[in-house]
Formats: sequence, structure tokens, C-alpha cells
Amino acid sequence: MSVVARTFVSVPQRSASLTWELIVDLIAQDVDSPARRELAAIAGVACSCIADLALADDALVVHGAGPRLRVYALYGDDAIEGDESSESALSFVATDGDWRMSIPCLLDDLEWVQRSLKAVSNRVTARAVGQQLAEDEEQDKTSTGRIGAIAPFVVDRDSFFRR
Amino acid sequence: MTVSVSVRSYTHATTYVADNILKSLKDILLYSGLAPDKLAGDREVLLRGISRWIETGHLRTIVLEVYNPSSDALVGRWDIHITYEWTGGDGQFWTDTDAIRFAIKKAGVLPSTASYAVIVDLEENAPDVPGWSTTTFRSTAGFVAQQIGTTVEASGLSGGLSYYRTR
Repeated sequence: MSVVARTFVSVPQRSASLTWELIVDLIAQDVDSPARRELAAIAGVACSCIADLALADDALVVHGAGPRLRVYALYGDDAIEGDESSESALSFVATDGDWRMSIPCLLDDLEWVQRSLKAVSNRVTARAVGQQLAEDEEQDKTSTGRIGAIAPFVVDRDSFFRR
Repeated sequence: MTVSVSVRSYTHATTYVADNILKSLKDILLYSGLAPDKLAGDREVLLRGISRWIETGHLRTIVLEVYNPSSDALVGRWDIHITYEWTGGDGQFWTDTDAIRFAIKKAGVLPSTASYAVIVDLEENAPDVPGWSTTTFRSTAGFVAQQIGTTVEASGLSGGLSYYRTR
């Protein structure tokens, strides 16, 4: 599966709320779409995760009918300078088909974030920062297997895709 | 604690302080044993008001009241007092979550059945903000305030935290 990454400027250049609005604009362009309504329902929880700096090193991942999308955020000086941002529109609709989203959050917040998301969405889930998605782990294992037992090799997907 | 330095505007400071006040309220609820779900649900309205009133300089204090939903009596209270001493764009922005955790250890966990409300204390002639209405504070009789110190700082625009404990 191909992977596309975007990196959004966030606090203090933008509020977490505005950051989320722009992420939603990126992945669900049709303002009348069911995806848009579902993303509106989780806005407060998503913004809380963004404000916790959870998207600094861990991607918000969206996967549906098109390529897998990984979304990061820049904070502090990096956000003000904005040199590493990449916010251009996608050539596909990330929320097309049977889409799913995984939001990174702080470990202490995982329980309430998961509970809150589950109450309003069956497509959006949360994982603790530093924890890979099961699909990513599976791909990494596959990569390691092809390289062989001489030199085990695991790709740091977060560092790789955001550059 | 995270600290960084660069040239920043007053708008950066208001954005930083407003977002991190909400983060602080979330952390207080979480580490006190209360579910932050309702706070997250109200986040847009809360941010709209807090940001607007910091911009205009009318926001004195953000108050998190924790109360017994049956009796409506105060169970606990946390205040974030805003200080407007912006010194320019080369100062530090930081948020001290560890101080909040330490204060909660001293204040103690709150009953998980408690409800909470976010109320602001404003200077006179503050502009109206959609989603906010006038109310009164619950009585603090029998409580005493404890100062924690600054927990959100943006080049002099800052939030100082205190909490109320029973006498």
C-alpha cells in the first residue's frame, strides 16, 4: 500500500482547533459528506490530542480506498517557522470507501480518549504515542523477513514518512 | 516541562496560553479521577471565549468548579488567574504539567460521580461571546485557597494556578 504524509503547522502558530479544521478539510473535502459529520463529532477529542503535542512524532493515520495518509503536526518554534510543513491538497479523498482513522494520544489519556471516540464513531480509534498500528507492524515484519536473519532491519516509519 | 525560545507575537502568546489552559483543565480532571469527555465536548465554545477575552484583556480568572450533582455543593475548585505582563517576542513559552500533577497529589482525588463546570471571571464591559451566559460561582465557604504558581507562561502572558481545599 502506498503512503502519503502531510505535516501541519500547529500551536502556537495555530490553535489546536484550527489545526484540526485544516486536517478535516484535507481528508474530507465535501462538507456535506458523512465523514465530515463523523469528524465533527470527534473534534473536541482530536483537538485535545493535538494540544497534547501527540502528533509531533506520531502520525494521525487515515486509510480508506486510496493511499494510507499519515498526518503530523509542528509545534513551538517549528510551527512558527513552518519550514517543514507540507499542507498541500491530496489527489485522492482519504475518507473514501470503508475508511478508518487512528489518532495518537498520550498514554495517560488513552482510556478516556478511546471511550469518548467509541461513543460517537466506529471508524476512529486511538492508540498511545509510540505505539504502531497493527497494519504498520505487519508491514515492518514482512520487510524484516525479506532482508533475512543476518541483519534484522526495522524501518522507523514515522521518521521516514514525515521527511 | 517543555521550554523553547524564538521571536513570537502576542497572537502566538494568546493562542499558546488559551490552548494550554484547556490542556491544564483536562489534566486536572484526568489526574483528579474525573472524565474529561464533557470538557472535550465543550472545547470549541471554551476556546472561543478564553481566546477572545485574553485578546481583549478582559479575562481575569478561569475557574473549574467540581460539585456534587445531587446537592450542587462545591467539592473542589481550581483557578487559573491570568497575568498580562507581555514583555515581547523573545521570551519563553512553557507549560508545567508536573506542577499540576504534584498539586493534585496534595489536593487528593475527587469523587468520580462529581460534575464540573468551567466559569470565567471577567472585567467589566467584556464583549459577548456566543455559547457563554451569565452565572454565579458556588459558595467556597469551608474552603481555603492554595497557591501553586505559574503553570502556563508565554513571555509574561501567563496563567497562575491555585486550588481550594477544605479547611
